[in-house]
Amino acid sequence: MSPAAAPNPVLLVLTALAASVMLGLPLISVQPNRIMPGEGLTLWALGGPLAVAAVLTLLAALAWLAWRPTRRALATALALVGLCLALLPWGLVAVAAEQIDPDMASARIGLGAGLWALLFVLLLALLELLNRLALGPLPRWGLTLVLALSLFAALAGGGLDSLALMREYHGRSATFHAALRYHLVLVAAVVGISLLLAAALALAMRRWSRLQRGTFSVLSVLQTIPSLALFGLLLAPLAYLAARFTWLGDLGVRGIGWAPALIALVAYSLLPMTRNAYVALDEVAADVTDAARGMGMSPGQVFWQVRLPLALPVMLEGIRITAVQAIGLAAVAALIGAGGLGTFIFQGLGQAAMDLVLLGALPIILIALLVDGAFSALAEQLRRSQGRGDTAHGG
Amino acid sequence: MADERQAAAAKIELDAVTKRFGDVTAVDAIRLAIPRGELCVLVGTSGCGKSTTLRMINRLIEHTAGQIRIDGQQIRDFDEQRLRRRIGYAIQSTGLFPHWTVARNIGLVPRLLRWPASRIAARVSELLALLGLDESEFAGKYPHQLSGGQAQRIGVARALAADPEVLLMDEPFGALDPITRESLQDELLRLQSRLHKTIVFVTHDMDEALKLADRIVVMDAGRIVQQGSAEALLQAPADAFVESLLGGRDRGLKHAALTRVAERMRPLSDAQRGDQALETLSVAADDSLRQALSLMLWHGVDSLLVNDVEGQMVGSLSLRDVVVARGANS
Repeated sequence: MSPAAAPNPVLLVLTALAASVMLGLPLISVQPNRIMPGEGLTLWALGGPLAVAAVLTLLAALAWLAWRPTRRALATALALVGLCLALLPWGLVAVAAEQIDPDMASARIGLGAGLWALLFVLLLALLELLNRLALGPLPRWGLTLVLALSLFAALAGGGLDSLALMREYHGRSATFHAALRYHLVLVAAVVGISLLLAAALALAMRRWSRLQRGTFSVLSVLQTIPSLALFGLLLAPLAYLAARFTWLGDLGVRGIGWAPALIALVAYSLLPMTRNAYVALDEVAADVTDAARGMGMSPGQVFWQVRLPLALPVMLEGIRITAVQAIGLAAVAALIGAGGLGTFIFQGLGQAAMDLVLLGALPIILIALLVDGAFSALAEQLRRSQGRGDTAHGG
Repeated sequence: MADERQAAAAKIELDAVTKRFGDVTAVDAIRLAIPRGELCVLVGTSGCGKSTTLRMINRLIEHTAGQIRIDGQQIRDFDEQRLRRRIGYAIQSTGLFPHWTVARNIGLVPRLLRWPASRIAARVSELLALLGLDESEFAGKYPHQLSGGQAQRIGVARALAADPEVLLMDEPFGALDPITRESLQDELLRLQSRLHKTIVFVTHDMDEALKLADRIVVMDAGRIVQQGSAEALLQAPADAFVESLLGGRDRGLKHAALTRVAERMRPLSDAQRGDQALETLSVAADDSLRQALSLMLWHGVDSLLVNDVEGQMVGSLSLRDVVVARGANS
């Protein structure tokens, strides 16, 4: 990057946005209890002119760095943004200690629009900086770890217990952990079962190419059915089967509950999983398999030693898409009594308790992000270990 | 009589071999006997059936009718995987496994044959040395880290790994630039002079065929149009098609490219050696007549001095020596 680099417009806009949400929107709200509406507090109300001046100085520094974005300036900006994100929970700890009277057990702090917007803007700035600096996976994961540790430490210290979100959590921590475990088990089962089915379908389509069209159209149609409708469609047949065969009922198969959720989620997962498995196996270069056969490898050896390893990165991509999709969809399954983190979302919606909704939604988002990142990293690692940046032979 | 004797000694025999894909006859009742140690080049335009013929020999394509024999035994009598492990196979795109290192790629067939690991490692080192590739540099590399020429060398090494007596090569140098291609052709000739494999080599490039082949088999529309040595084809092309493959009016130059200067030069007597001015242009005795002719044309001279490998003057070559009546010297 040349020293006289042009200003970075993305960062400048984000800095301006951060300034306006910090100054214009309430950052937190203080509620005496769960039902009473809270009182929104702005930065000015919380910290007075000193806090406003400090924040404006920091943002001005960021803007100055974005105006002349040399590599060193961008690295400094990254450090600043990272620091802001890492200190955010600790700022909340300080504010909570000041605003909440420890004697009032049900008083709580809600996160205001300004804070959410700030979080969003800071994360965008972080992404922009990471992309500009083109850092490798190690610093990225390192940064993620630092932020996660900071948040975890703030939570573990108990300083955030008066957050509305944490009040909801402490009110039902046992239920929360059970729901979290259940959610993860459900998703794992969905991914495992659809992987097996997709592998079988992909292999069948490779052997009998006429199957291909029919299979993909059926899977596409399944994909278009709204999830609630699919649950409804499964209700009657499953209830009938459970009544007809008692051993199914003993297993817990009923018209509602985990059985229809599992079936529906597998049905949704099959299209991305099967398509990726099929394409991955099919697009392995013909000359490589030709050479493998010509050298005297048996069909089994060609598959296990050549075709499958070469297809694996693309297949992993299918697993990633499926897992992320299932993590989100499993929330909807709570509607038919399948449990999981979705339970809190729908309870919260019913009671107009937004913090309870967040208690369900935030872990789902976090898990989805983690799984997405982990599978992406795994596929990238695999590609790298197979030495496949490109397959072209240079001159 | 001569034909029968040759057939008895043949390593690979194709006896009225036909391949039909549905209604299309790709290879039409061809007969071919390739003696042990011969480098036989199948040449023709695309779609003439040369690749199909090659791939029928290791049963990647099953022939429809006729018999293919190796060492007098029908290839259908072998288990097809065992047959292929006995036959080296190299293809244009190399077909190297992108997820395996060079060393692992080369050791493929020995591993299929369950050689002990130490023997495989020794064989891989031996082959890398044979192909002029430094083991410490190349053994751990992946195929995408190689240049086209290096990748194709590894492809050849892999084909040679289990020391097969028969080697099938399907346009192995077709995707390489001219300079790399030429150096690999030289390499193949050098290897062949040491190893004496029975090689079936497919190409569409007649110059490559003329350079490499002990015997050229010209194919067209699934049939063999003509077969013989490069010299024989150039002297008497069977028809207009073979003639056009041979380059039409360039045929004289192609022929000149096959003849070494040493065959036409006049040896110098000791007395003459001293007389020659040192600055006179010279060629090597191993150069081709074509190269000598080109030098004469370019420099506008009608005679050249000839040096041997050590640079010693051994003879002279004049335009008159180059241009002799066809057949007079061969």
